Amino acid sequence: MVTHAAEQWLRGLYDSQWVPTVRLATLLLGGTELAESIAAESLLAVYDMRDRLATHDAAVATWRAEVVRRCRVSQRSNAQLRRSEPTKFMPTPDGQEHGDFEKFFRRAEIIDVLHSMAPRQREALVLRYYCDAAPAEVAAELGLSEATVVELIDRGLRALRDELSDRGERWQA
Amino acid sequence: MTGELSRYADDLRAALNAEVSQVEPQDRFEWIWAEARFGPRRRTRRWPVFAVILVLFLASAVIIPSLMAKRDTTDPLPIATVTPSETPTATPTPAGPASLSTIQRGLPVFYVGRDGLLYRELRDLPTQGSRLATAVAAVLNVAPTDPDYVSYWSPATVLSVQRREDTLYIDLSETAFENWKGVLQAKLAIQQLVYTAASAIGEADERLQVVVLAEGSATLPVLGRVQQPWQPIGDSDLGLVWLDTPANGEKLSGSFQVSGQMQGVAAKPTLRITNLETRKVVRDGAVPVELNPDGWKRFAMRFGLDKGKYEIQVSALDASGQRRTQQRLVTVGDP
Repeated sequence: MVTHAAEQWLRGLYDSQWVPTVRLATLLLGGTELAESIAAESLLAVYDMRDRLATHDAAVATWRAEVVRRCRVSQRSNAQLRRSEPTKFMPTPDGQEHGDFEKFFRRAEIIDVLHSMAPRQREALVLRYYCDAAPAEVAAELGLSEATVVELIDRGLRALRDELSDRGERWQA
Repeated sequence: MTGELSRYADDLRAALNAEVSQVEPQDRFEWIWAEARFGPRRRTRRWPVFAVILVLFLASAVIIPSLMAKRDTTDPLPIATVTPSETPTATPTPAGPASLSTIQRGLPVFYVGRDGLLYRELRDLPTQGSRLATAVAAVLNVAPTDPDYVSYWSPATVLSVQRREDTLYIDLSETAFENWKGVLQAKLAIQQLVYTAASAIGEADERLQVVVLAEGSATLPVLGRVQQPWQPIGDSDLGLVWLDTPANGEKLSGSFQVSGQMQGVAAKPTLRITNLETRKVVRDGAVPVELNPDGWKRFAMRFGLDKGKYEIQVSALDASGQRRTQQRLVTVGDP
């Protein structure tokens, strides 16, 4: 039955990508509150267009692109609220050594800088360095040219370097 | 990229992974699948089955003009109230004609098959005020005759059934929802109710919608405050073959009819009748079908068999080439 095949298709995509996709949404949103909902709604949108997605990889890329788009819309609508909220860091594990604290705070600074960037730049960096997507894949998912994506990523890394430097590079090894 | 920037890229990668390493989302597949099957995006605009029912209804309206006149009005249907003591029970087909005022004949009641798709049984049931109220009470309280079917509703009282324009408001007592163990079951139950109610009123209008209330509240168990109203879901979630007659367990005379419908995509339909006592196949062959204007195919065949217990199987290939079968166990008595 069509329904059974459709369920298998959905199950396969869900099982392979649910956790990383929710995590992607978490990174783009800066929190977990809406991440699952956006990942789920995005998956439903991909499900609706499954007949046009020839391969599993195409479905994964489409799901990611849909998550990025929905996160952007969500952030735009909540921009005012978000600006007034402090950045939420992950809790510090117990019993950390001094070096672990340094790493922890450096990573927190990096995430903080990331969320101060323009949405397109943040999305390009997250897709490139969290999803390990090649620049061409990032370009396809963001609807940009590959050259633009390469430029966005390069500028993003320079901005990260400069901002961390301004903040004193206290945790640089 | 310079070596210096590569170091920042590595740091960024590590920071991103560390940031979400502790994010462990809940398993939401059941909800997603339920939405995929029943969500608004998947509401089809086709109502083939009910188009046939409408044709039949209109035909009957010629014979009973008063029914037609009532149906054409835009006034809401009167509220039908069913008390617990009026809970309908399955009624065996009587030998002689029954009064139309006490028995609703051939009332389609929808159940869920083992494959998670919807199937119907045509039942003769005691009238509960109106055909619609009888059907709604039946889907809650009348068990399927086929052991392969289940209902995700629990016995309950229909507090009211009301129609306002294209929307049916069905208010049920709390016990109706006790069998809901998950989102998927809940939504299948809703679809049982939606199809049963819609077919009971012979409503082919694709604008028909159903709002389900739990003792007056739109917040339902398991589903919470969901977006209502509901609409029929379309062919993809209906069983491929509906075997209308005979009913499972029915006692037949020597001559009887095997009839039903199958979806337009159904291919190579076959019928097989096996004598359960001798294990011999007594009938086996292709099923002739007639194409309905709505794209579904109907079939009706008459057989004469000796006394005994039989299994009747009607099957067809679905769109993926898999054969889907419906069966009934019947007893043939003296002619």
